[in-house]
Amino acid sequence: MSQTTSERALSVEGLVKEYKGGLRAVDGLSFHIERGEVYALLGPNGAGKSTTIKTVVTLLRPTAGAVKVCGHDVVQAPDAARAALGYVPQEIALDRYLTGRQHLELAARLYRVPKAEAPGRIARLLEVVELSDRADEGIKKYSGGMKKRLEIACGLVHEPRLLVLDEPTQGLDIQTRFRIWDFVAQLRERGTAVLLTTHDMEEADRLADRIGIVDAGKLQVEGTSNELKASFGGERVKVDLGRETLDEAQQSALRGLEGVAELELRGRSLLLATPDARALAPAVSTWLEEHTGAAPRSLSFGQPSLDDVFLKITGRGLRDGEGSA
Amino acid sequence: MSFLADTWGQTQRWLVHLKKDRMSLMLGILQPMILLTLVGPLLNHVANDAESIRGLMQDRFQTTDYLTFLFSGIAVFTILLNSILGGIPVVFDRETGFMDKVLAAPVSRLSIVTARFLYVILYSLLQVGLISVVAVALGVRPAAPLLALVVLVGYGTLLCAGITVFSLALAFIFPHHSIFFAITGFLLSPLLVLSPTFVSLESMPTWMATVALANPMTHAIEPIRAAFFAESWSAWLVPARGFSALGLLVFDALCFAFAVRVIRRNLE
Repeated sequence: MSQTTSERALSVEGLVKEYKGGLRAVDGLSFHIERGEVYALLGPNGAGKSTTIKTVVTLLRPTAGAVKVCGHDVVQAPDAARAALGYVPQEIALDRYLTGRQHLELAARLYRVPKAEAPGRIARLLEVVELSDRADEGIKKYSGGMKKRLEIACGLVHEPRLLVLDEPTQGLDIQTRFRIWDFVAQLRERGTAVLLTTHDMEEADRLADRIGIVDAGKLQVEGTSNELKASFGGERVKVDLGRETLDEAQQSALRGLEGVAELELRGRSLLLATPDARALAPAVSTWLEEHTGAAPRSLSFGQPSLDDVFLKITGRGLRDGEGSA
Repeated sequence: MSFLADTWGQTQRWLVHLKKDRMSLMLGILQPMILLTLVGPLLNHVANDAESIRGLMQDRFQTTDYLTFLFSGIAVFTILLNSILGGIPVVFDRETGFMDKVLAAPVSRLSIVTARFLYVILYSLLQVGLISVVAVALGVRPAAPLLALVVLVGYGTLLCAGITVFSLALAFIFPHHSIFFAITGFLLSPLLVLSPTFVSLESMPTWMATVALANPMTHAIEPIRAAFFAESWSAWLVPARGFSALGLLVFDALCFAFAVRVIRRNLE
């Protein structure tokens, strides 16, 4: 059952953020996160994810629209909103002079955790992120994964109802990624809502209860992973055309091939939606050989992935484009 | 109450820096020590070498004890240096994203400034204290030690407040440390030369002495220097001391207003 705005962990309604110079990074974005829900915001570089995150954590002021954290408006009641959320930025931002424990103590003071409660919470968090035995070492000696785990612990020291994770596993090795994924799963079990941005489709697929895909500052589509895959329109055939591409006439002819429901051509990558990928794949390969004079470089088929959904919706791969907004 | 707790909470972070980075503290006192140990005895020697020079010095500096004369300038310069560079960690916090984490917390914005100021004044007083030990060993003898101490801490704090707040404002205006260093470096030389750090206002060209009156350093050095030579509170307490204190308070208020405006604009 859906919650009311005041009960929700996060409610974003018609968010617009325009920078000086007129760049509109976010353009009427709306979504919400229920308490205890993990929500992944996906989008290519420059889609508006980082701007949205910075607005949610009160670092940017919205140009228009409303953002409420646990019912607290980020403009009207920023301190109440801040107290309700924890923020783990994309880049590791730690103080090289402090130990792991001192970072947590500082976070506890910044979030005004009662003095009597802080040591116990810090000890528990250090255990959860598996840093108890290294807690009193300077972070200069920590690996990238340890630093990221410490960052997450700092974001949780005040027991926020919403944790904002901006690209939580970017640049980390596979083992650390799995540990952080387990940790996010534990948070959900404890009832903490999580907003995460990611470039990693597998991460979104595994962790998120719901996924929102943003592009050009707008929410393009939203739903569970299965709902998004179902929206693709059946199965998919993906073709790497190699050096060749297709002209309008060839695309039109290919659309007429039996079993082709939809066709998307991006550069030299061809994506076809079909009710029966196994039957369509050889027919497409043969057609291409006959009509372009070259066999495709590679061809795959099966159930659509989130990547396919993303490509179909945005017309871009997740890592395409430059910069971030 | 939460403002004080926020301030102290962040000051503790800077105190950890001090504990872990004693090398910077020691190197930070090296430059004023060099000036004090080399320039002070050198000019003392010159002043006492010939009767005519001694007379000239007495006329222009109102003393022949150049070491004590110089010490007040060096102490204030040490405070100025720490204060003007006080914004550096904030620049780095902005560069690394640490500041974003602080700003995403329900912490008083003003406490970011006050915590840094508190640390800089504690750090400066510690440095000045260490320099004082060397100064006493070299022969600096304030006529009334308690008066000298109180005035040094009081006027030093007034100067430190304005300059530190100004430096923090610069840290919020310029997001890269290279620009911050270039600007503070550019400001340091005129602040030092257009002040009575090395010579008295009376021995400066008229135009320079007039410009020096607009320098906040002047309004810290003059009362502190007077306190080192005054034998009692009543001898020290003349209207000029009030004028200097008022000048520093106005300077602090202007810096504070500027910083609030800059920080608000940068934090939207």
